[in-house]
Amino acid sequence: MACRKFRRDLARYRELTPAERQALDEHLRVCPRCRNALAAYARQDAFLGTLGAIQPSPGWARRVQERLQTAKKSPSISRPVWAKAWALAFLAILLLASSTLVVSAHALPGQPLYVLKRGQEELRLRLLPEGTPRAEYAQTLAERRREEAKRLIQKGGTAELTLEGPVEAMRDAWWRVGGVEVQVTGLVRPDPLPALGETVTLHVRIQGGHATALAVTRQASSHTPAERPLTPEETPSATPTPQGEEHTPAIASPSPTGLPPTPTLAASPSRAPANTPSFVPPGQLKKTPQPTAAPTREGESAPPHDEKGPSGDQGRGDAPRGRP
Amino acid sequence: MAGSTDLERDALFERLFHAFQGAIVNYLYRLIGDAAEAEELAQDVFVRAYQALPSLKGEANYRAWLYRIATHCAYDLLRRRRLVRWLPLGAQETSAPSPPAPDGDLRDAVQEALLRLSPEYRVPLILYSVQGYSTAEIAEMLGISVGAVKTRLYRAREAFRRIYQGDESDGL
Repeated sequence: MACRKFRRDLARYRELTPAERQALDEHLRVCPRCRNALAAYARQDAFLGTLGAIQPSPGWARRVQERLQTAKKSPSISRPVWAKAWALAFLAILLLASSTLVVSAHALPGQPLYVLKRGQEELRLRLLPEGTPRAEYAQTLAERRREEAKRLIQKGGTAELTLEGPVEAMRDAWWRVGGVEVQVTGLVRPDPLPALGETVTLHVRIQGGHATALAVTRQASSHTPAERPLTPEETPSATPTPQGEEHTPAIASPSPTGLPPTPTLAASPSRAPANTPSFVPPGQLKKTPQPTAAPTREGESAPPHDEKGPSGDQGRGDAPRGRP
Repeated sequence: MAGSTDLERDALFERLFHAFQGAIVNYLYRLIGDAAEAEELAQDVFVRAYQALPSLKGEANYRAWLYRIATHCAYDLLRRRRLVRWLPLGAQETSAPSPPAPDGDLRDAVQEALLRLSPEYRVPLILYSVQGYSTAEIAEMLGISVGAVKTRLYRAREAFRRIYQGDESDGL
């Protein structure tokens, strides 16, 4: 056990202080293993001492001088300095990029940083694994688009963008999709109309404080009239119609307006199912008999004056005020 | 800063070069075992030293500083050669010890045994037993504690005993 205490001292015997050497020597008198080790280390030093020294070759010093001359001619920035410069440049780029990304998160359509924002979103969407994470992020993006639309409407800005959300209310030409009031003229209404709660994709133009749909796509392409869920107005629990007043369907099916079809409106968003065209020219519109939605009016009127306001739950018996 | 003007810097470097060129070349030769490569590497060491001189503090221990540059250069070279193996106790050799060579080949045999040590242990053993530095000086050269140098030196000696001297580990 005492050997352990002295083992490192044995390896550096020549530099021990007198006190250290005295303590070790006392141990060596009683410990043959440590004496052997010390003798082995002494032989070791002798072996290593035979290595001697080499002399640099005659031209070596001159070659060093030549290399130094070359080093002097090059910009004499020592490594720490240029390393710091690179680190600072990298930091500056990182700060600039991160601050730009932060600022771009608040950008609205039509603003310069909006492209960056959308690019970042698209990249992240693609990088996410398919399935729930990607679907959840797609939902987040859809909500983000709707918020942008609301802010643009509030600010009176001008831009075109694509919205996606559930149809919460339909009154005449005014639909509420995911909380955004959009004017949907007969030109672009799909046939059959979507049910309340059904998710639709709208390409809208926002200008002068309101949004106008340029194209509408139903996402649930498999919806048939028979499968379409009942609207609140059609359900027994919906807000009762005053007695003596004829029940008016909430949904007005499109009718020709006399306007020629606009070719640009026919372009449906890329995510639209192939069998659900976003725009049917008025001349081709057919009033499909539906059990719940009879054609009533072609009103392109002002947004509904809802007592609950735009954020109210119009899906629950929000019957239109205007009747044909 | 050491050598605040170009003239002072050149003068200081010239003094360092003349004082340590032989020691550095020999140190590198013992570390890597090839004289031509050691000379080449020593050129790198002095060029690096010249470039780094302006950033060196005035009170620096120039010898320790040069040896540290040399050690790093040697490690880089050995790493490139794929000779560096960072084993926990440094003794990378497990093969049977070779018998001492005849007198004429003694140097080569000792050098070969040195090269079979892990660089982590080769460095303190060369600096202590061949170059003659104290453990405190070696600690400053390598930028590690004196205790770490003592431990490495002891383990280096034990590894060298097994490799060259044919001794069994004493199990201390």
